[in-house]
Formats: sequence, C-alpha cells, structure tokens
Amino acid sequence: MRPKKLDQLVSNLETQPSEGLDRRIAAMIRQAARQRSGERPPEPVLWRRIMRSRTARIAAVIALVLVGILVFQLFDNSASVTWAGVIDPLVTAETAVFNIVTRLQDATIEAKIMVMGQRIRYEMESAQGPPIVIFDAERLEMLTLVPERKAAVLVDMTDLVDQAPENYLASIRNVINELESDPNASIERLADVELDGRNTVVFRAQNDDGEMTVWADPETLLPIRLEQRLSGLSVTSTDFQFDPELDPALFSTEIPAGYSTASSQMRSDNATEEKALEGLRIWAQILEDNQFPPDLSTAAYQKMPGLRKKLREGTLTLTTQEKLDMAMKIAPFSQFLATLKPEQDWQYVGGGVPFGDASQPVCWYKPIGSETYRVIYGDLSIKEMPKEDLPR
Amino acid sequence: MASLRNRILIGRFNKGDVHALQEIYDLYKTDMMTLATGLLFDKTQAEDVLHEVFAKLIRLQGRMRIRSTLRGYLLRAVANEARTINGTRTRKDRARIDERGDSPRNVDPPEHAAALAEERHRLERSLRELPYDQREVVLLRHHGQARFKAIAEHQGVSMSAVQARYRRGLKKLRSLLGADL
Repeated sequence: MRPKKLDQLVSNLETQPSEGLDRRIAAMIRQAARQRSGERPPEPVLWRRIMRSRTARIAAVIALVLVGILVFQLFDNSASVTWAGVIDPLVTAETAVFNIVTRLQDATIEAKIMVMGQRIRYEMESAQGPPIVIFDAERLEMLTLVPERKAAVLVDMTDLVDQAPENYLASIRNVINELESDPNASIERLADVELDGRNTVVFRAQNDDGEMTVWADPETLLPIRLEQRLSGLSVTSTDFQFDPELDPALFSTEIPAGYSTASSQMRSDNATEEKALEGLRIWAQILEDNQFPPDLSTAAYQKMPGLRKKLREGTLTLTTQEKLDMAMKIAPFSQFLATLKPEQDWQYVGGGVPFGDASQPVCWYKPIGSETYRVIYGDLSIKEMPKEDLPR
Repeated sequence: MASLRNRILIGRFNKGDVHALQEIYDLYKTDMMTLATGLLFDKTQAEDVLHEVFAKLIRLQGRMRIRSTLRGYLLRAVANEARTINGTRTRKDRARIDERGDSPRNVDPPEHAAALAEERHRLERSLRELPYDQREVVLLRHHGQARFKAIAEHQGVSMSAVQARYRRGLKKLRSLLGADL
C-alpha cells in the first residue's frame, strides 16, 4: 500500500537544475553531435528556429508555393502545380526518402522527397510542376530546376532565418511535442489495422490546430503512413525509407552548367500591409487584367487570365527573371494573409471588382489591438471604421 | 502518446541523432534533479550527477535499451550516479552536509507558500535521518514510481531486502512526520 500522503510530500521536493547546468548539457550534446557528424556545429539559430511561430513558417511556405506557381506554370502547361506544401529545414542528420501527397486549398501535388541533413529534395512529374526543388536549410537557399528547359531559379532565403519552414520530419516531431504539451489535445490509440498487408499500430492526436494520424510498425514504431491536417494544409506521407544511402550531389544548390538562371531574395519583412497591398495590386492589375480575382485560392492564382492573355498575344514578354521578380512582389500578400489570426476577422469580397474602383470594398480586417477595421477599396485606399459600419 | 514520443526520441538517439538527448533532458531534467537533490542534499553534486548521466548516455553511442519507461530508466541512472558519489563521500563530508541546517546547500529557497515550504523542509529533514539505502528506496518508490523488483536490481539485493528497507524507512518517516503519513 503506497502512502499517498508521502507521494504528495515528495512532489514538494521538486528542484530545478540551474541555467548553468542547462548550458553545460546543451554544450556537451552539441559537441557530441559535431564529433559524430564530422561537420561544423549546428548553429544556435536552429534551436531558435524550432521555437518559431507556426504562423510565420506557414506564411513562408505559402509564399514560396505561390512563387513557384507563377514562375514555372508559365513555362509550359496549365496543369495543377504546387510543390512546396512542406519545404522544411531540418535539424537532424538523418537521411530519409518518402512519398508525399500535399493538398493546399484546392490543389494537390504528389512528390518524392529525399532528406539529407539540412537539405531536402523534391521530385515531381514535370506535368505537375517544377520537376526538382532543392531546399538547403543551412545555406537558406532554394533551387528549382526544370531540366528539360535547362532553367533554374535560385531564391536566397537568408533573410528568412527566423521564419524558414522546418524540415518535414522535424515538423512531425514538433507537432507530436505540441500535441503532448497541449492540455486540450485529444490523443488516442486506435485499433490496430492491416495496411498494405502489414499489421500496424495507429495513433491519432487532435487539437485546435489540426490532426495527425500515424500508422506505425508495431515492432520498430517507425511510421509506415502519416496523415496531417493543419491550417489548410493536408499532408499524407507513405513509403518511408530511413537512413538510405544518398548521393550528396542530389542536394547541391549549385546551378548546373548550361542552365539559364533567375535569382531573388525572399525577405523577412514582407508581411506588412503596405507590401501586401502592392502584391494584391499586381495580382489584380497584371494577373487578372485590371480586376480583383474571384477568390484568393491557389486555383484562382494559377489561372492568371490577364497575364496569360498578354503572353499569348505577345503584348507582353517576360524573362524568367522578370516572372520571378513579379512573383516575389505578390508573395507578401499571401505572407500577410497567413499571419492574420481568426479573431482579426479577415474578409475578402473583391471578386470581379474593377481595379481602381474607389467605391467598392475589396477586403477588410481588424489589426490586433484595434477597435476598428481597416477596409480596403478597389483603388487600394483604406478607411478605418467600426464593425457596425462594415460594408454588407 | 507519451510512450510513442519517448520511443521516437529513443529511436532517434539510437539511430545517431544526439540532439534527441537534448529533448530528453528538457523533458526529464526536473524529475532527475529532484531525485538527485533528494538523495544527496547538495545541489552542486546533484548537478554533477545529471552531467555524468548525460555524458554516459552520449558514450552509449546510440545503444539505449529501455525495458520499462524512459523516465524510470533515467531516474535509475541518476540513482546509480548518486550512489557512486555518496560512496565517495567521507564520514566528514556526510557530517558536514548533515550539519547544514534546514535547507540543503545550494538548493534554491522554497518559492511555494509558507505551508508548502514548511512541509518540504520537514520532509527534507526527515529524509536526511534515513540511511542512504532506505532514502533511495523511498524516493525511487515515491518519486520514481519504481517497482520493488527494479529497485532490488539497482541496489543489488533481494526484493525482500528492499521491501524491508522500505518498511523501515516509512516507519522512521512516520515517526518524524506524523502517523497520518
């Protein structure tokens, strides 16, 4: 019989280690990691990056998705293309290969993913988008390649060090951590099921942010299938291979010889209202031929009828660099949207509104801490007004 | 789910990801520190225990084998290191620590309510009255949630001997802390 009173008394003995010990242990672990990998030490920023807000990371991911769509969809076909639902830097030295199906809004993309250290390589069918995307989280560079056209786009993300999306495998672990520490999370083990002829254990965890289901080998607990739903993203990963031998050359962000090149820099201070409105202006004026898009979905973005028409008619010619520059100016709009919280009550009502029409509202939101809303009109002018005066 | 998380952490570590140890440390450092301090009554030595435990884990080169729970594994590792340190203490050292008064050296002053702090001090004083083996059994049992069998393996004695130490320890604590224990 355990004396419960003693349990309670012992719980009062709780003692925290000093910050000095925390530092000693962390230093010891870092040193061990360096010795094992033979590589230079992981930067402290990697630890900080783990703690970044999910919102900022999602903003960066969505912005990159849109950049890729604009730049590469104009190369050739009109097939659905999103390639970077989960471009994530990583903090482990493991290699992995797996297949992933990402759904963002109404677009679906299937890709094979390879991970090596802090580098990740996406491979897709060319009909779906850029066939190869390499993201190097250490150098904070993203290289997109279209071999059949010998075209390359290099995006410098060093300014996004605080927001760069994390490696997908690491993000899975962080989601697990978050779910476990969330008192409102519901975590359950489901009945074992047979998956592709293999017996699997199944766990499902849910909280306000999303849901994750893992099918795993009952012996090794290595995942066989994983499904995640989070903030508009749906990701299914299968066919995991852990620690395969991979050629480092697959992850090089050096531009291959003979490739035409465009390059740009993704900035961290993009998610401002001013830059967002400039992105919306380009979307309305250039992609949609002087009217606001019917909605702000990826599908609407992909259509870009105005721009296609001009390119088809030859009234506008754009180099790859110019397309990239344009995409980088539109990206802040999505980055800005991704930072808005539900309580900011963002509304878009601009479908079909002619660009420049000062009488018609396009969208509104409430800044954090503000009592009034910011209502943006067709000429991108802004009026402050209380909720009761919002357009109906 | 906690088990899944721990198994993932152990799996990562065993596959060579030393950074998993950092997450393990962050998860269990308070539990480990509480046990080490409760056994040794010296925060500096308790921190040395934790340091040594993690140094040994690193030297394991990813060969961590957990038979029960990760927390239990770590607390037994702490108990092992604390026992080693306790064994190296001279009689003079022990007397010095025992003479320090109400609060163990370097242990942060209690930040709980006064009643809670008083309870803690009473328990610390009472635990200090127990022989090390009995104190270890009581703390592993009540803080580490360890089974008698596991404690017996750790102390290298029979299970009945551990149970006897536990009974004697409780009896002593009851005499010091009150019959309602």
